[in-house]
Amino acid sequence: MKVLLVEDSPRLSRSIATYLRRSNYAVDQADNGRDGLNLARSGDYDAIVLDIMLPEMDGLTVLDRLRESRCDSHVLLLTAKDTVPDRVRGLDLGADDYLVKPFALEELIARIRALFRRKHGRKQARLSVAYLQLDTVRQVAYRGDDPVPLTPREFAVLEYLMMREGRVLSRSEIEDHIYDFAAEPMSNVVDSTICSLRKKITPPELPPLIHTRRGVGYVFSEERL
Amino acid sequence: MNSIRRRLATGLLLGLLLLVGGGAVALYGFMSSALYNELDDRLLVEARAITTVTKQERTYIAVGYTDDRIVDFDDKTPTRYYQLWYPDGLTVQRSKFLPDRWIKPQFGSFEQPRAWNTKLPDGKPGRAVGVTFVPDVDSIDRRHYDPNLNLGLVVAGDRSNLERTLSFLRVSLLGGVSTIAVAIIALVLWVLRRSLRPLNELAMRAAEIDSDSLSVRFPSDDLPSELQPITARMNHLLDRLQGSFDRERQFSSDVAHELRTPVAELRALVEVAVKWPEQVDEQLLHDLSAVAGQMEHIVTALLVLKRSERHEESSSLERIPIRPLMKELKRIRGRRAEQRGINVDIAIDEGRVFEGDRSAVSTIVSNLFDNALEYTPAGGTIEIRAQELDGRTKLVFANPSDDLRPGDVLRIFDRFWRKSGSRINGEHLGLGLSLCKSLALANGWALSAQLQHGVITMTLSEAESPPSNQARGEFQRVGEP
Repeated sequence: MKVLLVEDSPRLSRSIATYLRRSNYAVDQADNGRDGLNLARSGDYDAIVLDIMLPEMDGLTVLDRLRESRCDSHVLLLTAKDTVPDRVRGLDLGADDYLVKPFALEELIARIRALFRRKHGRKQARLSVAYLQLDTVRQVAYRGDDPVPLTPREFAVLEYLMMREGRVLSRSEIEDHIYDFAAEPMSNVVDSTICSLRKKITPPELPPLIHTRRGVGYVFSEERL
Repeated sequence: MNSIRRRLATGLLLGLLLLVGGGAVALYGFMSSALYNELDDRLLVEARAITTVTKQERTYIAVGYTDDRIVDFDDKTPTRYYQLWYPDGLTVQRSKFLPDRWIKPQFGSFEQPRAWNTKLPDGKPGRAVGVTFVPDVDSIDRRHYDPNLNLGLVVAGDRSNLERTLSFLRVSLLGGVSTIAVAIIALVLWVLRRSLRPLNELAMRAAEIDSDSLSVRFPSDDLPSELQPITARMNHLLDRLQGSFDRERQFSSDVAHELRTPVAELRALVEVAVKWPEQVDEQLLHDLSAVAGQMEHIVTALLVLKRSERHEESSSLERIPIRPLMKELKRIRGRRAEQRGINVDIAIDEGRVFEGDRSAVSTIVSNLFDNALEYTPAGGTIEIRAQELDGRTKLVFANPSDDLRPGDVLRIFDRFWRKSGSRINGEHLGLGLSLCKSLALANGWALSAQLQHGVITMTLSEAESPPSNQARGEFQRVGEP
């Protein structure tokens, strides 16, 4: 999953980004409102974590302009302002969630996961398709009751596919969502990750769940479409 | 209890009742005196009548009267009594039914007779008048006329009627005074209640005011003119108190707000370190230290600001040469100015002084200098001037500013205000100019900011009159950890 983090405190931004990346999220970072707005408009982020007090353009203005440009990315506001009017204002401008500093990073991650689920119309933290279950909190995949060991990248790709079950996703789309701006993806990384996933999650006796659409991309589905 | 109502009621009632009572007593006294004078006059007339018929004979005194003339004296139930004495005390003549020693005589003259109350022989209350006179002779032959023969005459009469009249008068006056007193008490209390109602309403309104309802103000319409200055002053004080409370609330809110982000940074750093101990490196430790230092810096700066606002720091007056002070600042900050390509132009006369507390002046000019240095665009010039106007020294800092707007000048001295709006800046908390303003106010100086044609000018002026002497204080520069 790809997250845009707009926070001007270098220390806080570094800590949050580290925590997210170590939790298998791709993270793009901006340290002012203007850059944050440009990134948000140009990318398709699963969630945007937006500080309110930013240089050049404050977070609420960024949010307002995002919504004006019909950007539907879920936004979680970070702020030190905890009064009811402040929260109401943020939510009325189009924020999906609001977190007051200081906060636990675990809570931030949990709220971001909730935004992911909301984005894809899902309520449970555990995804289940056919014989495969994905615990998005513990970051573990199960086939039946048996855990399936996956690398962080494999888990990220699998989660991305399962969240969009039935949708055909292009290679570049998948790549965008598993790599952040700073990373330089290797060529063919998506194909090799898909290949590795197929081997791990589907033994020969079970029907495949990841299907190829030649020239288009991949789709995750119980049925062969 | 010290009560205006009680004081007024007591004073008015006592005064009015004393007046009424005194008036009644005076009236009684006047009436009594008049009645007695009238009785005395009547007795005196009777006495004069007796003296008229009393004559000196050759060897005796003749009192020529008939029953017709002085019938009252010799009636079986007389209402008048008289007695004449020789100078040696022997009786010349007296009323028929008068016992011996019925009276102790006193004598005056007809112009100033002696009059006194006495008891008549029949036991009734009486009034006596005593005079001396020299009886005339009854014939042309005046050879036996003795001009030194002063006879004493006492005429006494019944004063029962007078006493009854006076008794009636006393009862009437007492009844009247009592009725008036009751009416006065009722009227005074009613008038006081009505008149003091605005005061009671003010007191009730004041009782409603607490720290959560400082927006309440006292109404000034329909108030008595004596109370209007008081309510105007109280409303003014409430304005100031509300402002002070609002500032305190804002200050507490600002403090909490300012500390939230460093605490969030601290927490995030520690959580990453706990979850992934291999992430702990020199950078992380440095970050932890920096955050702790920033929090200390915030708290210290706020405490300094608070102390300056409360005038807790004491100061002393000095005549501070400004030019050396500015030169030293320029020397200390020279490297920073050079790095940013900023020119510092100081135009201050050698002997120019600024009168005030040295540490406060140093803190203010340091902060103004640093602000100018930080926000002047690269290649710009900071101009520092000292002028004298109306006998007061004005210190002026002027520098170009790219991003300030006219509206910003109104807020430039607010706590935690920064142009960028961001609250994350390890060096600049947005408290420097607030501290300058607070110190200036505490020392009776004026500090103002103007923005014109892209140039921001900060002016520090001496007090109109020298501030009162205070002990030296200790201020820190705010703006650096």
